[in-house]
Amino acid sequence: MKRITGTHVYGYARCAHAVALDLHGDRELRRPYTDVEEFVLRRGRELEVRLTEPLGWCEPDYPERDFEAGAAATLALLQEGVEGVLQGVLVGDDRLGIPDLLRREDGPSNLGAHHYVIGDVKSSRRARGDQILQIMFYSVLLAEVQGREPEYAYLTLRDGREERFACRDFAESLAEVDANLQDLLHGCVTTRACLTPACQGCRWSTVCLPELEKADDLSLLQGMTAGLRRTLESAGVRGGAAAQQMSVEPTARRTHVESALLRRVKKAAQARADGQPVWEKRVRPPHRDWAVVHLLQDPFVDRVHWIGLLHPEGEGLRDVLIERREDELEAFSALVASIPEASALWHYGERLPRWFEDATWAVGADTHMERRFVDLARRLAGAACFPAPVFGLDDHVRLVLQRDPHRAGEAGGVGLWLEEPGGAERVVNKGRQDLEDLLGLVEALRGESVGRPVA
Amino acid sequence: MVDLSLEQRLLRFLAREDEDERRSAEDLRALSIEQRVLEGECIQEAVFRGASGGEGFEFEVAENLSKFRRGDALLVGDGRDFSGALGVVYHAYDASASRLLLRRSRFRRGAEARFEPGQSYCVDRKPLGVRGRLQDVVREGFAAELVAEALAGGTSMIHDESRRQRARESLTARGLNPSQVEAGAAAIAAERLALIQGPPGTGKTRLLAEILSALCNAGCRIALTAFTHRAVDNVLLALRRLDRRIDLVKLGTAQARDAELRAAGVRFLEPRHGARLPARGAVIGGTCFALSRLPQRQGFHFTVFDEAAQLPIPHAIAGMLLSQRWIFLGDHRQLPPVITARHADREVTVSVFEHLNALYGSQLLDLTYRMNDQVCAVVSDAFYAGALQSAPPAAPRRMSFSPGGALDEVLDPERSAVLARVDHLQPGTRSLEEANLVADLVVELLQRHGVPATEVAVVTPFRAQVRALRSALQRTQLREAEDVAIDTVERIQGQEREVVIVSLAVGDPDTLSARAKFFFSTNRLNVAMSRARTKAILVASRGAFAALPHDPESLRAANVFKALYRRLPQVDLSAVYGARV
Repeated sequence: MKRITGTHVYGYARCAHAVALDLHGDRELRRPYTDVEEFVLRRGRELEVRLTEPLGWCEPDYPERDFEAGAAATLALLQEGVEGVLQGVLVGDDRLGIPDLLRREDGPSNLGAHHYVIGDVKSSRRARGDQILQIMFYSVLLAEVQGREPEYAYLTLRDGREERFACRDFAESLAEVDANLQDLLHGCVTTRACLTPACQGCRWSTVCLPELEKADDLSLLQGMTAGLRRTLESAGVRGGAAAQQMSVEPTARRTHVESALLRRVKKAAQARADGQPVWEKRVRPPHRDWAVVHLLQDPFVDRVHWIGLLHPEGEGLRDVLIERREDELEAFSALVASIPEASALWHYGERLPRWFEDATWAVGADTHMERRFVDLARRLAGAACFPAPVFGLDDHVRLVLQRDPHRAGEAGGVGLWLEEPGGAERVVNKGRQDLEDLLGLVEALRGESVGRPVA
Repeated sequence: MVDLSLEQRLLRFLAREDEDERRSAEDLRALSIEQRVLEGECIQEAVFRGASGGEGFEFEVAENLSKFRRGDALLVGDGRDFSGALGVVYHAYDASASRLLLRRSRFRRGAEARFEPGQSYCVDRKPLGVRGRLQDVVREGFAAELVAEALAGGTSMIHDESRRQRARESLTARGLNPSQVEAGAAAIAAERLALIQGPPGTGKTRLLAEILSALCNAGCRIALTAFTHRAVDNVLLALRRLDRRIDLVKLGTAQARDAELRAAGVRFLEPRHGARLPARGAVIGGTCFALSRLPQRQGFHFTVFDEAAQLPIPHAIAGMLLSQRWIFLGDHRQLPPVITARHADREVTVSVFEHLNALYGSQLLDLTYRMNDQVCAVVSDAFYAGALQSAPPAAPRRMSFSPGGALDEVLDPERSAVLARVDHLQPGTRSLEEANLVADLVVELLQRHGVPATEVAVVTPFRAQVRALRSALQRTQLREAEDVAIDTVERIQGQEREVVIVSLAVGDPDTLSARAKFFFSTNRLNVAMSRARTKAILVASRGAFAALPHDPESLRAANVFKALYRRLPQVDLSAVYGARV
C-alpha cells in the first residue's frame, strides 16, 4: 500500500517531481548512494543514537514493516504514559509517520492527563523549512491518535540544541503540501523534471537529466525557473534552440516578461549552444596584488581541516593541515601574514566569511581582514552567462575550465577520508586541486586565459 | 560559541553594516551593465536630450527597471569608468514620454555638464557612507549604567502611583479610550521606562501629543526623537494643534516641512547652539543624530522615541543618553529598521522597540479608528492575534458604491477585504498583468464610485512595479489619476486612504523562494493592508502564495500569506488580465 510519509513531505519542499517518482517510479532506476552519501547517512544515524540513547526511552516492538502493528504498539506505550517513545509509528489515512521522538507533556488528551509532542533529530546546524514541515506532518498524525493538537513540535539539532516550532504557525503550509501530496499519490496531477539545485543530491537525477537533455529543456539554461519555462513555452519558445532564436521584444510583449531578462535567457541559450561562457564586457579592476584562499571543512563537526593560500606573484602555494579547532584562526592568520597586507583574498562563496565570522566571534569583527575578501562566486555570477545553471564551485570548474572538479575527490568526503589511512594526504591533494581550480577561475575572470577580453 | 556582551554584539553589528555597504557597492560595480539593470541598480541607454530648467538634465529612456527614486545620488557616465562619471540626483521618470529627469547634485553645483546631445549614457547608483560616530555612542551608552541596565533587561518598571492616578483622570477627561488612558498614564508616571504598542489607526500620535502636553505642563523638558525628520515633524505639529503654549524647538534645518513647522511656531536651532535651549516646559525634537550632536550633554527629564520600531538599537542609545526616563512608542508588527548586511546574530538587528518589548512587554492600544470592522478583522487576526478591534464610528463604514461596473465583484463594499486574482508566473519584480487590472480598478473607483483620487493608494513591495503601475495609470489618460498615491509600502507607512490596492507583483514560486526574506514580510503586508479605511484589495497571482521558503522565518511568514489566501473572498480575473500567450 502506497502512503505519504514524512520523507515525502520533506522532499516535496525541494522537488515535487522527485516525490512523484518516489511514489510511482521504478526505484531500481535510481542511482546508488555514493560513498560520501553513505558516510553522511551513517553519521546521521550515529548522531541520532548519540542524542537519543541517553534519554532511555523505549521503542515500540513490532514485526518489520508491519506498520499497523507498530502503530498499535506505539499507542499502547502512549496510553501507558511513558516519558517518551523513540521511533514511534503513527498511521492515518494514506499517511505514515515515524518520528524520532515522542515526548510526554502535561495536559489532558484521549490518552489521559497527558499528551505527547513530536521531536526529530537533524544533523544540520540550523533548522530548515523542509524539516519543520516534516515534524508538522507527524504532529497532525499524532493529533488524530491523542485527540489533541500538540502546541509545538521540536527539532534536536546537531549540537543537541532544541528548537521549537508552534504548530499553528505552519498549519497552512502543511495543509497545502499535504493536499498536493495526496494529488500526487492518487495520480491526479502530473509533474515534470526541472533542473534545480535539488538535482545535485537527488538519486533520480540519472533519470531526469537525460530526459531534460533529450528535450533540450529550457531549465538547462542558466537563470531559468519552472515558472519562466512555462511562460516561455506557452509563447512558443520550447527548448534551448528556440530560446537562442527568440526575438526578444515581441516575446516580451506577448509574455509581459521584462526584456532585460529575456535578453539574458537568449544569451544563456547561446552559451549552451557554444558550450562555453559568454563573457560580459566589464570594467577591468585596477591592478592590486592578490591571492586565492580556500578552506576544506567538515561541516558535520564544524571543523576546518585544511587551509591553503596561493599567491601567484609571490610565495606561490602554502597550506596547512589543522589538528585542533583552536588552531584554525592562527593557521589562517599565519598564512595571510605571508603576503602583502593590502593583497586581495579571493575565495569562493560564503564559506570563508562565515567561518571567519565564527572564528573571530569572541574578539570582535575584524573588518580590516574582511575588507580584503573578494567573493569569486559573486564576481563570476556577474561576469558571464554560463552554458548551464551554476549551483556551486564544481559547476564553475566544469563550465569555465572544462575540468573534472572531482578529480581529487568530492569536498564532502573530507570527514570520511580522515577516518581512513592516508586520509590526510587526500585532504591536502583535494585542497591543492581546488586552489588550482580557483586560480584558473580568477585568471579566466580577469580575462587572462579564456573568454573574450574585457573592456 | 562564546557569549558576547550586547555591547560587543552591537559594535560587531555596526562594523558589519559598514563593511557590507562598501562590499555591495564594489560587487555591484563588478557586474556587467546588463546585470546591474536586472538588479534595478542601473539605467542603460539613457540618451541625453538637453538641459531641463537651471539645474536639470533630460534623458530619453525606453525602459526604466531601476529602483531609483527621487533624491537618490547617482552617477552618469559610460557605465564602466566611474571615476569620470558626473554626480547627479534622480528626479523623475515619465514612462509615457520615455523621459528621465535628473538634477545636478547639490554638492557639485559648480561642475560643468559634459553630456553630448544624442549620446547614450549609463546611470548608476553612487555609494554613500552614512554611518559615523555610532560606535562611540554605543560605547558611551554601555558605560552609562542606567542605559546598559535597561538594554539588558534589568530595569524595574516602577511608576509613581499617585501621578499615574492623576494622569488616568486627566486623560479620561480628555476623551481618550481605556487602552490609551492606561498606556498614557503608565508613560507619564514612569520612573524609568514605558513602552506603548500602537497598531495602525489606534491614535498613537494623538496619545503622544497628550503625554507630551501633560509632561511639559508639569515643567518637564523633553527630548523627542525618531529615525526620520518626518516622524519628528508629525509629532511636533500634532502637539502644536493640541497645545498652543508649549515651547517647541526643532534641531537642524533644511527639511521638507520647515515652512509648516515655522508657521506652527516651532523654533529652529542648530544642535551646536544647544545652550540656548529652554530649561523647562519644552519639547526639543530632532533625529537621534541631531540630538547626539548637542554640546555637553544637555539634561532632559524624558526622552520620547516615536516610531521606535524602526529605530535600530545603536541609534536609540544616542537618545537614551540624554535622560534617565524613556518612553518608546512604536509597533514591531509594522516596518522594521532597514538593515543591509547579513547578520548571523539576528537579535541585534531588531529595533529598540522589539528588543525592549521582548524584555519588558508593552501596553497595547487596542482600538483602531481607521479600519472598518471587516478590514480590521483580517488585519487583527493575521497580525495581532485577534487583539485589535474596530472603534464604533469606524466599524460600520463602507466604501461608496454604484453597481453596474465591470469590476463590481471586486469593488463590492460588503467585501471590504478581497483578493483580486490574476494568475501569472512573472519571475521579475514587475507584473503588467496586475498593473493593468489595478489601472482598471482605479478608473472604476474614481469614475463610477466617486471615490476621490486622493483617497486611493496603490502599494507594492517593488519599485519596478511602482513604475509599471504609474505607466498603466498614465495610459488611462484619467487626469485625476495623478492624485492617486502609488508607492512602495515603505513610503506609505503612516498614511491612510479610503481604498488601498496592494499589488504583490511576483507570481513565480521559485523566484519567491529565492527572494523569500524580502517578499514574505508579514510586517510589510500588515502595513500595506492596514492603510485602508473601508476597502483593501489584494491583487496577486495564485503563485505568490504557493512558495515554500527554506528558512524557518520566511516559511512562518509564508504561512500568514497562505492563511490570507484562504480567508479572503476571491475574484478570479485571470481570463481577462492574464498574459495573452
